Amino acid sequence: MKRIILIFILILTISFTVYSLTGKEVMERVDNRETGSSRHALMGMDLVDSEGNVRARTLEVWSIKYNKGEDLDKIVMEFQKPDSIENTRFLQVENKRRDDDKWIYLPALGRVRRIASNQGDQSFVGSDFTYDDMDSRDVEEDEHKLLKDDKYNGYECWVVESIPKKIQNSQYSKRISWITKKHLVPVKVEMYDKKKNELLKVLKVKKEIKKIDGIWTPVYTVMENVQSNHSTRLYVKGNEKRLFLEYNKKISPKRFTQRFLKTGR
Amino acid sequence: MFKRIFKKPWINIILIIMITVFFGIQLPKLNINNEVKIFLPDDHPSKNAYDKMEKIYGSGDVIAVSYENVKNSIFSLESIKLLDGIIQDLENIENVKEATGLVNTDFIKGTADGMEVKELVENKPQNKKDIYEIKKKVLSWDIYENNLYNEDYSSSQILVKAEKDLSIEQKEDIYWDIKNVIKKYKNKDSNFYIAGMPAVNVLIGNNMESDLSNLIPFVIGIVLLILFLSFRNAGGVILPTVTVLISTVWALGIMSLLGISLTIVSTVIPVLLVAVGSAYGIHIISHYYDEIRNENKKISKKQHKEIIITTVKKVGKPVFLAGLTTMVGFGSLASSNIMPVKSFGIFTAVGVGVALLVALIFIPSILLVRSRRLSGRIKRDKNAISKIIDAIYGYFSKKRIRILILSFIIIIISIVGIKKIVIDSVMIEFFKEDTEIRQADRFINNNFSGTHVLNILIDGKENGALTDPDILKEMDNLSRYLENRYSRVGKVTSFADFIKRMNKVMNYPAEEKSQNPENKSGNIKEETTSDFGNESTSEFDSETTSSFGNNSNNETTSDFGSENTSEFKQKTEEKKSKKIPGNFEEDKTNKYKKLTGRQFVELLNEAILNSKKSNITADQLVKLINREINYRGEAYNEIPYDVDKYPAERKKGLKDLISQYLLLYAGNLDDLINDQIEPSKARMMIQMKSGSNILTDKIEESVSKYVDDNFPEGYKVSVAGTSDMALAVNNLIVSSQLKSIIISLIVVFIIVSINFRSFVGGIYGVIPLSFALLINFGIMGFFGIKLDIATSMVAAIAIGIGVDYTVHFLTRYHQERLENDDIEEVTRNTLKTTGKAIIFNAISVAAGFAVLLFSNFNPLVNLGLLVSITMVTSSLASMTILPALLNQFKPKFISEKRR
Repeated sequence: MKRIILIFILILTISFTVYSLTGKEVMERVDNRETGSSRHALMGMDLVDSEGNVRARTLEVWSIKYNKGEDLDKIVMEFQKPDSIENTRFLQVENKRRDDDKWIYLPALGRVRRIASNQGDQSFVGSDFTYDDMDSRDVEEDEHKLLKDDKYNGYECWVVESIPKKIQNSQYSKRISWITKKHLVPVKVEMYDKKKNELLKVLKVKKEIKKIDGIWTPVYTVMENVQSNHSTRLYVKGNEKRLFLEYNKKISPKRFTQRFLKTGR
Repeated sequence: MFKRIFKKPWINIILIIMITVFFGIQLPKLNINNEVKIFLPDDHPSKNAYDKMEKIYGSGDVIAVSYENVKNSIFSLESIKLLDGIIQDLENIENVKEATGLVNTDFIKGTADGMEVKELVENKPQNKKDIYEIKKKVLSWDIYENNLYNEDYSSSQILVKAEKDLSIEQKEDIYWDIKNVIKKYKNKDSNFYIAGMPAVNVLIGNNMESDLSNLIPFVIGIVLLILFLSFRNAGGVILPTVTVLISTVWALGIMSLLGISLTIVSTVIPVLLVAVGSAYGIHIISHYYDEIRNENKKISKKQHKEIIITTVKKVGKPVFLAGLTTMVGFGSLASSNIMPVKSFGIFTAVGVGVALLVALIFIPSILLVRSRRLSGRIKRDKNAISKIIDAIYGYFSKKRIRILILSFIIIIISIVGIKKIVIDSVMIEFFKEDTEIRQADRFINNNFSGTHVLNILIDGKENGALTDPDILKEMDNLSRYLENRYSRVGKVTSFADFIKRMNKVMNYPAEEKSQNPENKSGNIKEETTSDFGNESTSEFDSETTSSFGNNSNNETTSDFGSENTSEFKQKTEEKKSKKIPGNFEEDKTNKYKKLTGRQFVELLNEAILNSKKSNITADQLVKLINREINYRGEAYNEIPYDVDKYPAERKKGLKDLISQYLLLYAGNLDDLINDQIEPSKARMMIQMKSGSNILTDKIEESVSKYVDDNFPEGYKVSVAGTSDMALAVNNLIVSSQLKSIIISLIVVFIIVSINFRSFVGGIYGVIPLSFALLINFGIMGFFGIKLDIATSMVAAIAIGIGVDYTVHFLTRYHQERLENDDIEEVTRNTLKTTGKAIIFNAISVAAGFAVLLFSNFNPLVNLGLLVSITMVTSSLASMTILPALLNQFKPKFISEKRR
């Protein structure tokens, strides 16, 4: 889940000195940015199969930073589409050094239940994002190497290769990320499968990176599984006037409780 | 014409050698493929259904690897450790999508306040208690029964699933890699068994290679021996052999060029061409020697050439006619819809054509070039064959009527036998009983759910159609129905099993919550509740976030702009929560909280009362009691269907609940449904313990009937899978068999009719063959030889070869009859000349096919046996029934001069 936030909450830390950065330094900069105290978004998630059939999901997400020192978030997700899962709500409380706490409310059951799962490599609601894809990886978990400078979508980028130190702690054998020098946003990430070390998935930021409430935000990304030709579009919804995404608003901590899950208020 | 062809014999020789070399180069590119899929024509509905299924649900190829602990239970530290290691190694094999077994299968666990989906064995077990916990988990969900463990807990199964769209070579590599992994883990206490269609396919290919490399030299050896015995001369041995080798190389070379795979029946092609094709060369050489022998003095080069051209002119026509009828006989198999049989027909016909061409052009060319003088050194003496002829004649000349009556009786008996023929082409039964794959298949089918898979595909109209409780309930009922009705149905799995499990786990009785020691969430709960207590209102007054509306319809309106205040849009779901969930469960659980002896007996009685049948096992009784007291939510181990029992007000609410369960279940159901939340298609997987097509056929019928009677409207239900395709192939056998017999008999009738300018002649031509075929099928019926794709080719092969005997006999009889009115003498002369050649030929062909008795495959052994027998019966019929009929009825066509 945190990766969603990473992708969408990327604050530009202005770097005047661009020389002799190492891969690790680049990734630390990406990781270390102030990401705002809260976030609220209405997001669309379209699953596109190899024949082009689209299944649309809509979810509203709130998150607050409840522990600034440790950079820990509380997140609530509420599904709006499709109708069958309308008002299904997830609550996730991130913990340091132990598994996150997760609860789910199923409106049809009228109950909140705690859920636990160690299957981070499973698909998130049938999309090409796995639960782990949505979570950030600790910079220390990988060896990073700055490969080259490159241009992507008109942005000057650093290209960083990240290889896990312990392969069993990663779902990929390696990742190669294109990080924009201007906003420190990963605009393209290639993920390689563990078994054959072949390209498995590519995450691409489409459209331009927008500044919302002072924060540079990619508003439209596509995750494509190149082996199955299945892809998932993840984007911030909006109308002509504005995008449905806001940062640093005040969100009540009561929203991140089991009671809210059940009652919706 | 012949003069021109043989003007420059070297050119003929070089040309044929070059073409042969060209096709020879193609041979290594031949691949072997025995997947049922390629047995069907591309537009066959069963094949299309399979392709469609594979596209939606991934590859259907599953290899079952069973591990047996000879000494100990699988619930032991050593077994779990071994399984853990082996599964990891199996998953690392290239093109293996996943390997699932006891340690890494998804386990849906109910906890005090929720649920967990985790791998069944999370941490390596350290002691007996850990093992006990694992066993408890495994036994708590019946989806694992007969999949992860067998009855006596001595053995566990790992399912290895391949990626989709793999080539046959890639699948073979998977099999050999699995073999290698197993080698690493094999020790004196463990046994491993590998089964499943991919394994069967690989092993068929493997055994075919050994068949080809053993049987071809064998049959060549036999032909060489026969040739040597008859010619006692190097040229006479080598030239016909070269003929058949060239024709085999051409036939297989063309197959390779066209990208047609070798299948199990292709193994017969070289054997057949060697056994049959040598005849044409023999005729040429034999006649050539006769001519030379007649000269009996030194021959000049010119005379030699003259002799050769005369030979070709004289023998060419009958040899050509014989070759043509044989091609037609084999070619009739091209009418089959079973692809391997079709290509067998085409390429044996091509091979015979080539053998004919080579015999008529290549051999004379070689003889021309090799102008070394040959004088007749071959002695003719009264050999065994002549004695047989005399015996036949001596017997039958007196007992013509008796022969006809005897034939009639044989016909009647055969017809009785035909009715007993079983039509069942079962891949696994191609292998002999004692082979490793048969043992593995037997073990796995005796201990687990079965290796033969049939799928039921359910297509709904719109997204979410498959979450309707009505359809899910019937899917679940259908599963149980099939499992109960057929003992050979090991298990039926669908996503209904997962929904039931989720429903059970999410409805854990409140009772057990407080008792559950695994409740570690206490402090978190308090933390959040105390926060909550400090808040005086339940409105988020202070929030500054906007409401984005709960659906995208709002997005284009300008409302959003003005709604930047704190009001949080109220949703409508709260209506539903009026009913108190879990009423039922609390009643029941409280009732049996503390049990008196009497109540315990009452409980047992009540459990039995609620059972659908009285003779239940202990295991079933325990389940009934669990259900009775809602032990760990057992009363909810069902598809949520009854609106009164759940907080939903209408069925729609239960349908949503199922979608929500799917959302919650993070595990992978890709191979059972086409969407993680609102599936419109689902697959049910039937595991069968037998590959019998007869069983598949019955199950398909039951499914179709059940669906018609019970499934709600609006769903399209079809079946697919390798078992379904095998059944489709099986169903084609009879039609393919009948078609090829009818076509070849008609063509034989036409050819003989034209030859004698008489339809009556045509009928006489067909009689001996029909007789031989009846005996063939009679034997199959009485001796329980199944009609399968190999034995279904016997008839066409027998007609193709056997028609020669009839044609030869009739031609000679006709010639003799024109010169002589004494039918006894005509018959005797015919038998002495042509009869001898017929017996000679029949024996050599039968001997050639007899090498198939040493094949690795049962159907080919049967094929070899039946063709050999039919060679004998059809040649004998030509020499007994035919003259008996001719002498009895004295038809005009045989005594009149043609034209």
